[in-house]
Amino acid sequence: MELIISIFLWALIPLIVGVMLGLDRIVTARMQGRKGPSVLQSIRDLLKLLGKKGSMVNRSQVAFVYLALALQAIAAFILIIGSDILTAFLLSGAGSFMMVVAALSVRSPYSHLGAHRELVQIMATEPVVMLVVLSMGYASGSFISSNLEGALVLTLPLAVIAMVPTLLIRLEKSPFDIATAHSEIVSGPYVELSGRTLGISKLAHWYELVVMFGIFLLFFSMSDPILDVVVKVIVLVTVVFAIALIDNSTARLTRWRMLRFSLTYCLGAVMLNLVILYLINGGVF
Amino acid sequence: MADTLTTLLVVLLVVAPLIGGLGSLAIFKLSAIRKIVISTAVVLITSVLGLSYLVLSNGAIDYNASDLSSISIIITLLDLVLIFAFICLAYKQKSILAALFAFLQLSALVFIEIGGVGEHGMVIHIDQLSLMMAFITSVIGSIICVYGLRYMEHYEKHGRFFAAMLLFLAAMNGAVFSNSLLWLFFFWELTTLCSYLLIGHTETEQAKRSAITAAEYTLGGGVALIFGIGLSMFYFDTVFIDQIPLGSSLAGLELLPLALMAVAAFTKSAQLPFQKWLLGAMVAPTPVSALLHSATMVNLGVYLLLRLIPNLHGTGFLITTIGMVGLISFLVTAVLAMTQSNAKRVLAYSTISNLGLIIACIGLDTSLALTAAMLLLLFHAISKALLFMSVGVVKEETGSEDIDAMEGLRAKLPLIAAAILIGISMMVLPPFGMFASKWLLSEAVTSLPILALFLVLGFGATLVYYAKWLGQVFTRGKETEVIEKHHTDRVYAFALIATAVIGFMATAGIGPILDGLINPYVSNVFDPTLSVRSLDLVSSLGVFPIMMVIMLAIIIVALVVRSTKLPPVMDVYACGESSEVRTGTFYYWSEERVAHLSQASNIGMYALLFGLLSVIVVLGVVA
Repeated sequence: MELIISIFLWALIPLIVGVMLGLDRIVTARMQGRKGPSVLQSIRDLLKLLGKKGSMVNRSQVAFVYLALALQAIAAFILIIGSDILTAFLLSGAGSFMMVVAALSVRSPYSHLGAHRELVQIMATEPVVMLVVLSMGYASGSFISSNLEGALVLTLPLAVIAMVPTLLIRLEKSPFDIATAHSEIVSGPYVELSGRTLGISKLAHWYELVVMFGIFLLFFSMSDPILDVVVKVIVLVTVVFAIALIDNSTARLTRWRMLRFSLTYCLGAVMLNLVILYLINGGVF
Repeated sequence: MADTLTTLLVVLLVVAPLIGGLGSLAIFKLSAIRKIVISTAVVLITSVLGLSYLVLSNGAIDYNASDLSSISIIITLLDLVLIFAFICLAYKQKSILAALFAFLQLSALVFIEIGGVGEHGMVIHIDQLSLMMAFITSVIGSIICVYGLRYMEHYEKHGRFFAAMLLFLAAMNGAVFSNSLLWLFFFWELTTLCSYLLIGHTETEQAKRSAITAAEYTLGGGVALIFGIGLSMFYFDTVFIDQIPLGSSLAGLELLPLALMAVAAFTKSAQLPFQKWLLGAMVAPTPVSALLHSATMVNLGVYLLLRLIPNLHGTGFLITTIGMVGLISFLVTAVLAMTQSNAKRVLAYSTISNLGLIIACIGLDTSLALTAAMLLLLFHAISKALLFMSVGVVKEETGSEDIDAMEGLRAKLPLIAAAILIGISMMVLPPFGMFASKWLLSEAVTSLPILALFLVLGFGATLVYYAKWLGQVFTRGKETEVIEKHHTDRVYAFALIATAVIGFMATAGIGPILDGLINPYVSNVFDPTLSVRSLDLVSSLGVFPIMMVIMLAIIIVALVVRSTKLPPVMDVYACGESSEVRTGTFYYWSEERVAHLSQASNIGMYALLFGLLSVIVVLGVVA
């Protein structure tokens, strides 16, 4: 029964992420004094893209994009059925790897620039999120998400804070909209994708977001199912607001500053949290 | 004593390549050498399969020292001959360091032999670990030798080359079968000699320099090993590995022999600060690099550490320092690999990095980490062989080993592009074994989370350098663009496909490999915690659903691809510019900065190793 609900939820992911992104667009628009699109606009865009024929440069790129979708979708599935979060994270990382290879597999300067920037983003986010996942496993003694301790946010508060910039990077939001910087390198890694393939790559990205946000929300698990859902929705909405606010009030960083920021402050924060926890467990405090 | 068939197989695995090697040395014609190498390869592969069957069904195979005392004497004599060869070689190449190391080895060896070696023990002990190593050497090594038959056509002195290649395989097999440290030392030094001959094979100035550098580093490691053996005689009164007391009972100066053996392992596995020789070894013809990096040489150091696990387990700061050396090597060389443009150099750094990861696993000293170490060792060998052989073919077809020059390989040499894709996938992508080991290792690290920082940064860097390379291989303009297709030679195709098939088989058979080879060895020290349950890898902390990943991936890709008609082909968007576009990769750091980092980390690591040895001595003397 639970499995059926999970599969159902998994199939609904595009809808949920679409609504979340729609909400983000509305909030952004209101901050800029505009009315903004309907909350379903992102989903409509995706459906339209998937129905279009488009064009391609070569077959390798298309194949890598499909592979990226497969990996991200499996990662999201593993997370949703309450299995190993570390496996889910590593699979999702492999999916990001595939998107970079896809972007590199056309001879386009914009695509290559975008891919190299994407690599710097991977270097900035992968270590942080992986350390976050490892610290969750360390704190709970298991990586199975249904065995994780409740309210991990209380034991790992710094890890939660450190994940926010990572979410911004993965959402391609300012100040970290570096790889896709539309005004500079015409959407970077996506420049040679169109129609259905572009839709597939968007879908892969949505599943990737689910993995990232899913890991983030696991910090706020509560034992009471109703409380659990309420807390998670509140956290999600707050995060969407915060992200829209940061997106609107900051200018794009260079990739090196992003890397330095992420690897010093974010990684440092998680590490600090982990060391404190380690010392507490070791009976030093 | 084991039965005749077993003895025959064991003897064949060491003696067949030896005979093959001597045969090729005597014959100059490549056509005759070809027959010799191929038949040796067949003998090796059949023997190792036969031996696997016997060990897996009947358990470990042992031979007592008292039954083989005449062979022990022969090995001692050969050892002396070998050391004299090194002294001559040092004299010829005017290397004071090599001469010094050879003399130190000689005096230590004479000292040990005069002291008298006990005969109450097993000189040969073939268990699951030995079997795994022999499998890697005999199967992957044979494939590389066959590949070399075609590759070396344009080179000279075939007899000498294949003699050294086959001798290398014999030495490796001998080393992993030995339970007597003195036997191990002999085979260890034999690999040093073979690597010297092979690296210097082309006899250019650079090759000669690299060869002597390699000899100096590994001879230095040999000194550490023989001193370790001498001290082991002194403290434990034994030269048999299985009789060295368990790590938890060791204290003070008794740790010194183990620490010295670990230093020897670091030199063979080219860990920081001894990485220089492996990077220099790149000048050798590609089959040599493939052999050094995947099937032989560097594995020997890791093997020694794995073999000593019962003795290292529970030694506290000693095993932790060993792990730190591995972990730092892993991170530093992964970062350095991102800055390299030459594919062979990227691979060389990635070898050091991966072996560092294996040593870090050993240093973690947990059941999961040890399992990960053995899995990594197996998949690393397969994947490295595949990647090096591919680079060799690219070099032959396009004349370059540069990653930038590999643009469009997907169209030019589709088979090679596929081989590189599979090789890299084995390293970083699911469902291949290396990915499973990455998952395992990440779980294992939670027992000592402070180490996680190095690990996550290193994994990030690894993804980056492989993505850059794979991307360049697949970079291509418009699909319809006409590109001259090269034909991949039959021998190359055979070697690559065979290696890839072994990789797939190892991935699909990860369950039997765990149950048959890895868990039995792990259970010597720990309770094995990793098992295969209903097609999932299950550890104490989590699950990795290998089969589910494979199935879902196939279903999703099939669904999407089946319903997709390929869209029309267009050229890339260039903002209206019409000039020809050339792409290149990005190397992050200047050569100067790379040199600076290498130097700084080498100094740090020398300090670490020196600190380790002096701490043991000081603590021992104080106690």
